[in-house]
Amino acid sequence: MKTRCPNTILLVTRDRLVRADLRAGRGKIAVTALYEQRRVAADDLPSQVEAALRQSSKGPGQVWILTSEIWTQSLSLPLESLTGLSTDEVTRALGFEAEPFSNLGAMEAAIASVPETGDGRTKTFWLSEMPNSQLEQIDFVIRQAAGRLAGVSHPGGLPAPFDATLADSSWRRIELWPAAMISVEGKPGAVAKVAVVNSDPRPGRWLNDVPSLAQDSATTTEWLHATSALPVEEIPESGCWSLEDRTALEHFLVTWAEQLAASRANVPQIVPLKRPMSTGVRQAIAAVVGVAALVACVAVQVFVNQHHGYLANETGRLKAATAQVAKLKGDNDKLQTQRDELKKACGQIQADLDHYQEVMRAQRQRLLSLLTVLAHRSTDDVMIRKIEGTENEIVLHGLCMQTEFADNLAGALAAALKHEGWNVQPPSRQSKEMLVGGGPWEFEVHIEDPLAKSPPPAAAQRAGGK
Amino acid sequence: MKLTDREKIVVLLAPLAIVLGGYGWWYNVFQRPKMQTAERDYEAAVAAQVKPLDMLEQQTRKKLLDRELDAIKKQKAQLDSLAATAAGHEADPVRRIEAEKQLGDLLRRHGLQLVEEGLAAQASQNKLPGSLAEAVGRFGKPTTARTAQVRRLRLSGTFMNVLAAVRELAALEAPPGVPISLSMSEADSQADYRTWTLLVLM
Repeated sequence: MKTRCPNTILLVTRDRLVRADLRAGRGKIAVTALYEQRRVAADDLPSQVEAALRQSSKGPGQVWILTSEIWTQSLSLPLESLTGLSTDEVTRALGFEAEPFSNLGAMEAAIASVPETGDGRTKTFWLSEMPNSQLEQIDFVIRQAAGRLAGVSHPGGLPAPFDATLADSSWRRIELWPAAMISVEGKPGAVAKVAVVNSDPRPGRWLNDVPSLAQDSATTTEWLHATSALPVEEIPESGCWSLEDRTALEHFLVTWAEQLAASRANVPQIVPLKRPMSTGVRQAIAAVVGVAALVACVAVQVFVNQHHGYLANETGRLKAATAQVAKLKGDNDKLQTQRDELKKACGQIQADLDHYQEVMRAQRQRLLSLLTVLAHRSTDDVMIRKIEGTENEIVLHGLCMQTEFADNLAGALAAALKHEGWNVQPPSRQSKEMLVGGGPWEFEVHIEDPLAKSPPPAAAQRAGGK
Repeated sequence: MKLTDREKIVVLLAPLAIVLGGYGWWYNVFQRPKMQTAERDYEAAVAAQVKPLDMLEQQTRKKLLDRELDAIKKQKAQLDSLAATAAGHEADPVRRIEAEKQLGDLLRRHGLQLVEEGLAAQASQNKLPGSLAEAVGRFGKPTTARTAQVRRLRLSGTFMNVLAAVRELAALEAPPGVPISLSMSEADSQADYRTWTLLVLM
């Protein structure tokens, strides 16, 4: 069992009440105050504990109680009966085994045990027990004194030699306590063996019981005198420690404190049962746990919100980029359509301009071609008497000696003016009947612009004349 | 502090279970659907996201189209100007006066005497030839401006004078006018000089 250095050790025996206030520092434990008084009343153990505490008004802190008032013994159990049992179950079984000797019911007792050696068929345990009611009362008394009960042990059986020089060799200590004689044997690197005789050392005869306690020969023997029932003079002087001696008492308590602090105390340690908390403390702890859980939930929610925000932002950014590209594409398509329409319009205008230039060129050539033909064809046989011209038509009036001359002239004009966009109509003739052949002949040649929207005046007159 | 098993349940596990259970319920009912929706939207947006090259491609395409469009608009403006000029809507009065002077000089140089000059006021004489009217009409502009530029010249001279003048007009790169019609009065067959009426588009 893990322990730590107690602040206070109370030693309660049949004869004395001792309170030792301790202080740990620089690897050493020292007694800061030691109070001792004779036990005068035959009160119960809790009252004795209270009396021991009251020797000082200082708060006791963590308290360890060493008392010879609890029952202790070593018991052996067959190995087969221990198979499959937990430590607590073994302790409880030991309590039942000890009932005839301790007169304590196993169910009403607070029990502690530590395993020792065995002989191959059995296993030996060192056992201590006390009534549960006493333990609870002691716990209450110490809490009333603003302390905390760390545990209760029998003061006998400390598994370390008082003389520190013996720690590296075999040693044995015979302890004489009220109602118990305890033999402790230790070897380097081995668990100390403890043997207990549950009786007061009998003055003058207790030595007869010592050989039965000794299980192994030992090189050095210490003697602890801790009961007033036996005169200290009966103890061998060599290696004798008596708790009557204040220095020995202080050394005894410091050695115990060192063993407890170093967690090396292989002794039965009865610890108080866990005490249920008050409602207020429970509520406070529950509130703290709840608030901590709530804080964790809030932290998780903050993370969730951040993640949600990140997702929303990223989604918005991606959608915006997609929409931007789509808008750009739509704008570009419109621009492309506009460009194509403009290109088409430009092509049309260019074609119209080309056509206009062609028409203008033909227009400039028309009269030249007409006059050139007339210059070549106008002879004595053909005479142009008059030319009537409008924007869409030119009418040639002339005389010829033979009809074919007018036809020839019209043919020549048609051939020359075809490329200039003028249509030459067949000539109309009228005989003057002055010659044998009917000649001379008056003729008219109509030259028309084919795209004239309205009939030229001359044509209209002709139509009206007919 | 040492806790009994019951206290461990009551003091530690119960508040944890209550708070965590409550939060879990609230998260599942209210938060989880929102998160699932957000995750679905995000995955859909990722699946439909455009590549950086797409954006660059569209931006480059827009620049090219803008540049092309500007060039085409300029070209169209030039063509429109040419069309307006062809339709007679951008006639320069100064240039017209100069052209009339050039035409007069040309006619005199070829022995033609100008008897009378003026606009072709008569309805039958102030029209464009059909083919020319059709060509001008293609520009979608009224032809009245062009019609108003038809001038009527009465000349006195020989056939050869007229032929030479018409030949030069046809040969010039930028003639002062385009002859569109010619009339010759009837006269004595023995005389060389005739009276001519020439319609010219200035």
